[in-house]
Amino acid sequence: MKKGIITIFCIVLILMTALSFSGCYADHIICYTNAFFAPFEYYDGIEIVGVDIDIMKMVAKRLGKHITFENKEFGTLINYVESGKLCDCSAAGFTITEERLEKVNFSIPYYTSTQYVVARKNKVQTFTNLDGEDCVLWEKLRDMKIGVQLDTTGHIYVEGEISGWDGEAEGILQGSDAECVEYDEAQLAYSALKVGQIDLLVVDQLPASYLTKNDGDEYIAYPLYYDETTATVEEYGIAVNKNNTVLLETINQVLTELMSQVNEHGENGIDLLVKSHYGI
Amino acid sequence: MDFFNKIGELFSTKKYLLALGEGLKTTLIITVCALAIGIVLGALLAVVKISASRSKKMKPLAILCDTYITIIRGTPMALQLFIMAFAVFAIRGFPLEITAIITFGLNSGAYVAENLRAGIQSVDKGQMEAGRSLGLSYTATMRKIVLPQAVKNVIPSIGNEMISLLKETSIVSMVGLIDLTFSAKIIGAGQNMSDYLVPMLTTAVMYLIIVYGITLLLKLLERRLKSDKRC
Repeated sequence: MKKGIITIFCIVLILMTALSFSGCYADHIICYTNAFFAPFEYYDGIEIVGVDIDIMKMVAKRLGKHITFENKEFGTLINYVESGKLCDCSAAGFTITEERLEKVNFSIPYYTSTQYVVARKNKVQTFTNLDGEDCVLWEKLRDMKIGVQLDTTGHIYVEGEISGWDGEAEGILQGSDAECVEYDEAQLAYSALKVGQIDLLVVDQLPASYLTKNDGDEYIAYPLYYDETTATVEEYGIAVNKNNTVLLETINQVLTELMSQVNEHGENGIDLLVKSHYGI
Repeated sequence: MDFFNKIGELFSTKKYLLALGEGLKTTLIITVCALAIGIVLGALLAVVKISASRSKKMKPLAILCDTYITIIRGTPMALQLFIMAFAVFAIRGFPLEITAIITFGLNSGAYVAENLRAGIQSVDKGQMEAGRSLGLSYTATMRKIVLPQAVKNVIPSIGNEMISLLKETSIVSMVGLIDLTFSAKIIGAGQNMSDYLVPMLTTAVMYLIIVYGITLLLKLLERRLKSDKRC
């Protein structure tokens, strides 16, 4: 009996060691993402695809390595990249912020995005900006129940405006009955919006227009402005582990090349990638 | 009507069916393998705990088993999985399926151990005494008289464990595996169907069918064991 147990134990141990060595993945780039952020990364069937994925595949090709993508919770991604033990980088439409820069390196910004508000028509008061678009001011969100995707910049901004910016600045929504409701994914928040659990949703530009694409005029995405001329702008970058300079340089090279290829419509390589994924 | 259209869309699109198939496969593999590990481990733990009441040598081992069971039963499954995936098996490229199977196996082992122990102890003391007085050794009595009766007693609770294990595997999506629940989420996500309700309901029905199948099998097994007793 005892011998049997010891044998089983040994077999398991040997198997595990063998597995861990066979899976060394030395010529593999492991890229974590959160595939619920179309068109930057999303599931097509069970495959993860998107703009970020295309960029990273180009990077892998240039380095002559294989690349694997794994789906993780968005809030945990930066920590994985920081430790660098399980993954090398994370392409998940990250906004480059000071806090994140302390933990990881970011590639050069490759996309500029605006925060958008998604709401039922006539739910929020709008104004027309210089380009003739309907927009929403932050102060009009007072007393609203605001849905966000957990740990995204939308979440950070809304939390900041509701509870103040660590005593440094007063939040616009401070003192009002505004409430921040966190969801795991933007799509889930949108479903909640549709059934009336929240009044509106703060999310990045492309996902916002994505969500409302099929719903005609009923739900509308408006850009979010601080005042009549200042939009809530942010820049996306790819997060790379601080020790992995080769990967960072290659990513920057690829991004620079993509952004320098401008066609006759004034669209660069990234815009074209976005377009190709947006069209599906 | 939109609802029925969506159902039609779900079952006529190849990539959605593939996603469901992939999810189903992961869920079933993890459940079956984890239950196998759980039963073996649970039996070992139960034997150690039972024999500790008889021999002093087993006492320290029994304390170890008790600690193990307390820790496993006292912490949420989701946290155990998280710790396993990102601390214990934090090896580059280590297959997540193996991590999940080991975690769920270790977890279910603790529950099965308690079920088995209760099953063995529920067998009347007189059975053991009768066996011993007929000249059988302790091990032989245990193996030939007590355990067969105990196994019959614990089948319902092992079935219970299997069912809850099956449903609990839905947390593996947390570490990046595609199980049945997560496949519903994928299908419901913006780029695919942009509707959560239909795929979620579909997977709910799938879980229900599997659980019902397990229940029927267990009933059949129980009936057969019962008829054995009569003759």
